Amino acid sequence: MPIKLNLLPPELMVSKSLGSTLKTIRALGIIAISLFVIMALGMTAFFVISRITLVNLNSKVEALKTNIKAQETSEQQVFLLKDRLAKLEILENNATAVVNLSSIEPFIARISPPSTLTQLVISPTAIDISANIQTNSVLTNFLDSLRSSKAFKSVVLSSISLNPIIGYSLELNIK
Amino acid sequence: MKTQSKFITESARQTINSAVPLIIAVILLLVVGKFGISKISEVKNDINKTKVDQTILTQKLKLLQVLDKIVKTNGGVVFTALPDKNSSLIVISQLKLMAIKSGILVSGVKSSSALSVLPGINEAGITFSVFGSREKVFEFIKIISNIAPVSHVVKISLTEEIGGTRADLNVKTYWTDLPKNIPAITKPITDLSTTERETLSRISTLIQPEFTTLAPSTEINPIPFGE
Repeated sequence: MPIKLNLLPPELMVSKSLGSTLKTIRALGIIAISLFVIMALGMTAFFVISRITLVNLNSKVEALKTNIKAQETSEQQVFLLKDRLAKLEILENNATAVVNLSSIEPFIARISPPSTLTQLVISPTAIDISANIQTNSVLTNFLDSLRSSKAFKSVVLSSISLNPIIGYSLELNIK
Repeated sequence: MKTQSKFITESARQTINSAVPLIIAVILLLVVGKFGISKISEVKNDINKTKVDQTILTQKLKLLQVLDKIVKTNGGVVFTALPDKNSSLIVISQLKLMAIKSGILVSGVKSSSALSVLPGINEAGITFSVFGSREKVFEFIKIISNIAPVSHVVKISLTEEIGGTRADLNVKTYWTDLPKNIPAITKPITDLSTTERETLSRISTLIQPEFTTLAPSTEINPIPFGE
């Protein structure tokens, strides 16, 4: 039958509880070292792969930049085109007297010789008409057409007079 | 054979021997882990930024190839519609040319600079008189809105005289300086919006000025002072 022999001198012996604690600490130490090695290797591998990816991406970006630089003139032209178009859009909203001219033209066509248009002033916001109209029928026709029209916000007959030679003289302010 | 230290007990020696590797490993884990994670996140950030740049540049290159065709077709038209220098002379030339085509007389052409109320846009005023039949004068006034450089009729004073209609016109024409800064190469470029395309198609219909390049009447003498 085997006999347990402990030949260590008593001063070199450690207690049983400390012995098991030290065993656990040693095991934890091995695990920590293993973890460190795995982490270091993993990080190194990840870092190297990432660096390679970055270098590849950078070379692709540089190639793209070179291609775009080759088209620098086109890019400038596009930028200028967009700048001009934005400003042209602003200008298109600018009021012009031509809109009012187109609106009043069909009514003005009714004033024909011997009636005369003494003055017609058109701005983007208003139309001032001074005319000499020979006959009552032309005058009625002209005023009726203006009154029934929905092209203008307001039509003000500011003056009207009758002269035996030139007929009716009238002044209109239209907005 | 191991000898027992005079200063420390065997229990303490064994505790130190067991704990030191663990402490070193934990310290290394913390230090290397912190350093490694910061480096990796740095590289990852760089990769993400580069990927974004790559996407922007790829889109930009594709878009540039598409827009290049539009610029080549319509660029000149737009720059004529809104030039970078005072457009008065070109507009006056256009007005005279249109007047000849419309069969009316143009006189008293004057140009003056005016303060622009629009940001970044300069304007010049042109005043002149036209004389002709009423229909032709009206037709001419309407044409002014369709010429390049862009011009607006701001006032019409019309009187009828013996033989025709006289109109005193006040026209404004515009020009704008070239942009001072071009965006960085990595800045994205956007396609033309629907509004921009509509403006472009309207501008393309404007009557373009006619420039004539005069060719030398005789061959150039290569040795003007020679025999």
